[in-house]
Amino acid sequence: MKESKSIGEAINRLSGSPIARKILYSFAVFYLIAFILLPPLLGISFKLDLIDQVFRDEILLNRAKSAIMWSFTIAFIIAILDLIAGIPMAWIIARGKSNLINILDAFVDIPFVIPTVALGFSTLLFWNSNYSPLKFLGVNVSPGFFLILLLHFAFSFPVIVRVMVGELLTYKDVYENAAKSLGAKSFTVARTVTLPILKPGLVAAFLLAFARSLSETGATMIVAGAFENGPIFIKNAKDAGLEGPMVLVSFILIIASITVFGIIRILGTKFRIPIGNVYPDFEALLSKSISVKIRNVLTITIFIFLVFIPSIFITSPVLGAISDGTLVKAISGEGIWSSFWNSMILSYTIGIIATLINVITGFPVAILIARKRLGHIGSILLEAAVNVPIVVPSVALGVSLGFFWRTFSFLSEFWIIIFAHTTITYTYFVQAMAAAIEGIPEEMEETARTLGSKALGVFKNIIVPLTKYSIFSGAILMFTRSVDETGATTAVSQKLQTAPVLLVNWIKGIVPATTSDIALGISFLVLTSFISLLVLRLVVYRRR
Amino acid sequence: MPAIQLRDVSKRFGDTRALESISFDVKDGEYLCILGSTGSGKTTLLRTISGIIKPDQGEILYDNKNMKDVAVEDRNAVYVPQTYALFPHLTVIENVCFGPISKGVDLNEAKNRALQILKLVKLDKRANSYPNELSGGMQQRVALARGIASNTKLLLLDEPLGALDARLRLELRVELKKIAQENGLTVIHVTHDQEEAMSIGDRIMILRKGRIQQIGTPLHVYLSPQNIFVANFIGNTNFIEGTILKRNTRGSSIRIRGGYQIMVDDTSHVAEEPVVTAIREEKIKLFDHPIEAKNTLSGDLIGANFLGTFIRYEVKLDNGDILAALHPPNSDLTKLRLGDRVAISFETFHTKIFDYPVLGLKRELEAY
Repeated sequence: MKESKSIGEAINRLSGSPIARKILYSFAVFYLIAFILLPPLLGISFKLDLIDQVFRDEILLNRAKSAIMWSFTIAFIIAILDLIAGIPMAWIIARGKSNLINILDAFVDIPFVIPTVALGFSTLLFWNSNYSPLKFLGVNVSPGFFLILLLHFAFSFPVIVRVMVGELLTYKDVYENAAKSLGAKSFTVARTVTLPILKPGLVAAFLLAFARSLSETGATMIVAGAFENGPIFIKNAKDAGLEGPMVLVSFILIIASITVFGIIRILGTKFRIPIGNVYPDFEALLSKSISVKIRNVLTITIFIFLVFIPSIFITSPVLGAISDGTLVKAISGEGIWSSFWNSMILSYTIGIIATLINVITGFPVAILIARKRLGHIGSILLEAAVNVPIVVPSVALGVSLGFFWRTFSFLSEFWIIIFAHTTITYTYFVQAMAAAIEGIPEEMEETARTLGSKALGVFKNIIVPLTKYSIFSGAILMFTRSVDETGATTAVSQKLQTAPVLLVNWIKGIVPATTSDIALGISFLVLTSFISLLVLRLVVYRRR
Repeated sequence: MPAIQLRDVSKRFGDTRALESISFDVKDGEYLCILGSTGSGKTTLLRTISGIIKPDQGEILYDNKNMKDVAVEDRNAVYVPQTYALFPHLTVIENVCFGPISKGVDLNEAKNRALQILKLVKLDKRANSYPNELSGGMQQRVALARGIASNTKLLLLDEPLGALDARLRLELRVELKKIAQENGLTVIHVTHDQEEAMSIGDRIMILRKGRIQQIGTPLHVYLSPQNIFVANFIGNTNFIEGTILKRNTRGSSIRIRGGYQIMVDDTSHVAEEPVVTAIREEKIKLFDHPIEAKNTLSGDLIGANFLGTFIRYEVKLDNGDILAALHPPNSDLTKLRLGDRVAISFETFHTKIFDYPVLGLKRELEAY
């Protein structure tokens, strides 16, 4: 006991040494560069000689070009549409006074917590069911471009709403009050004062929705039919054993997405929302309470029919699975279910290990970013490096990571999948932690230091207690993201099958499975997300 | 120019009573300062007048028109918070143009008017700067210019000088009043600084725990405080607890602690009535030797604090009461040392007598 105390004291004393801190931060930055940033960029470059195959086949080349073009087009359309629909929803949640707002607030997150494979299957079932609103209009939505749009709209919607609700809640209403007292109507205030001030949040929300659409693979595979965007093209090329096209499209998607992101990030801050002219009569009409009510009803209707119901529609065949004996078959592990449980254990194990690695290696990087320890430019570069994995489409990332890690022949497939998952989930933790640490006034740390606390003491007694919610939520977010990950895992795995990859094979008919099997399998996966979130809430509330 | 009337206005936030039956009038073109300590309800009152907060009861009238159903943006009353709320994404001129453009004024016309007003506040050369490029004083002037440009006649200023340094505050006080007068504005100005309120306000209103304590010209409030709280809040005042001993047509004598007696001009209280005598610190004379005069008490010097214009001496009287006296620093009294025997004296006509408060003197002096 005494010995462990003295070891603790020694570590505490050591943490006060600038050299020890430098070593720790250097290790974290080395990990970021060597394990997160370089593998996706280098892996693909190892195989660039294969792209020749594509240039010799004009049909393949045209397919590749069209797939890339569609990826960016869909992502752009989705980001715009979600912004238009998401901002009014964020407004309702942030400014609404009814108790029903809390329910609406929780429902908005539904597409977040449902694994993308489940979301894809649910969307497919809903838009082809008799309950589809388009069916009433006599329109059949078959798998393809339009269904991809509907799917991407649903799963990117919560991103916009979450970001904008956060922005609106922290926004000081003093500007709105000042603008109103100067005679501006509420619509004019929103257009000329609130939204321009929240522009960084708008740009961030747009980018996140854009990235989510660009990157999504698992759900898109289910609703794509014969249509190909970038990720689907890569998956199809992989299934057909065509490495050349896979490398070309992955390479272009990686480079193009990083470039597009850079451009939007730079131009986004320069873009000015036009405020020069005000149309008093028209804007007064839009500010009237009846106009606001119409807008709210329209926003909620769009949410219910385009986001909420398509996301939870999966629950209907699950009820059938309980009564038709599928549940018994599943629990006893009969037939196709024997491999399902192995896949679930594999998914959980990978999720836990990837989360632990990222918490340990991501924390120092979050501190470096939040406290700008590498200077202003250094922090920007570090943040850009951290963001690379979420900017790049996950399947392209998986292809590149597969190539990179397989060059180390001593690594088993299990560890290659883990490294792929750490890369994919790393950003979520570091971003959440950097934001949380930024919110703690630096004076608190400085005061603790002047009171005699060493760096470890400050970390343990100030940073961790004040950011515990973010640590847990970041860890849970990483874990659920890892368990649900489909695109990169599909690209990187050869023999091992995680649960989402196995479910895609069931849905695609590669392994014969009934609708009840699929729905139940997906429900077990969904349960993971719900239990994880429940644990998060319990832990956080108990600690409070 | 609008005249403002408040009739029985009350506002609660949960269990907290922020405003209690507030009624007062503000005349056309008047500059009214609302004075109170933190939590007295002055900001709530200002935000209620502006329409940002809705009162739970009572009426607010602008030029005899009830504002109950009139939205903030339709009241033509410009609210300027302590931080000025200059829109950070707009330049100075765009900020100043905001009001006219929102009301449909042509952009060029709005810009011309904005430039004229910026000239008035001597900021036309900074028209294209962003708010974060300006000093605190400049930001304050832009906020004023923005209000004037919106064609308002009612300015609601919440601690407008609070964020500025002492010297700039003094300069801008004068400027603020001048701009308000030149533009014929009615101004309601909230502050916790009594000197600021007294120097700038045509009238001042003292607020405590959401209730009006007194309203009047600065001089009237200073010379004739209506209650112990106001006497203590405005200026520096000594309070002596005692009981009326005798009363005649010219005044009363009061028995204070230790059996001592003082004489006052007041004739409104009857014998045996407990009272509190208030005497301004600057009205108390201090002597370094014993003297023979009415209202003279002796004691030991226990404190001397140099305040710049004055030295504030604290004397512990032989009866245990502690009184303070303000004297210019150039007097002979500067030779006094702590513990020296001294005498204090005051005139009967410099005293003000109040009923003894039901909850005790200490409670009455608390701001909250």
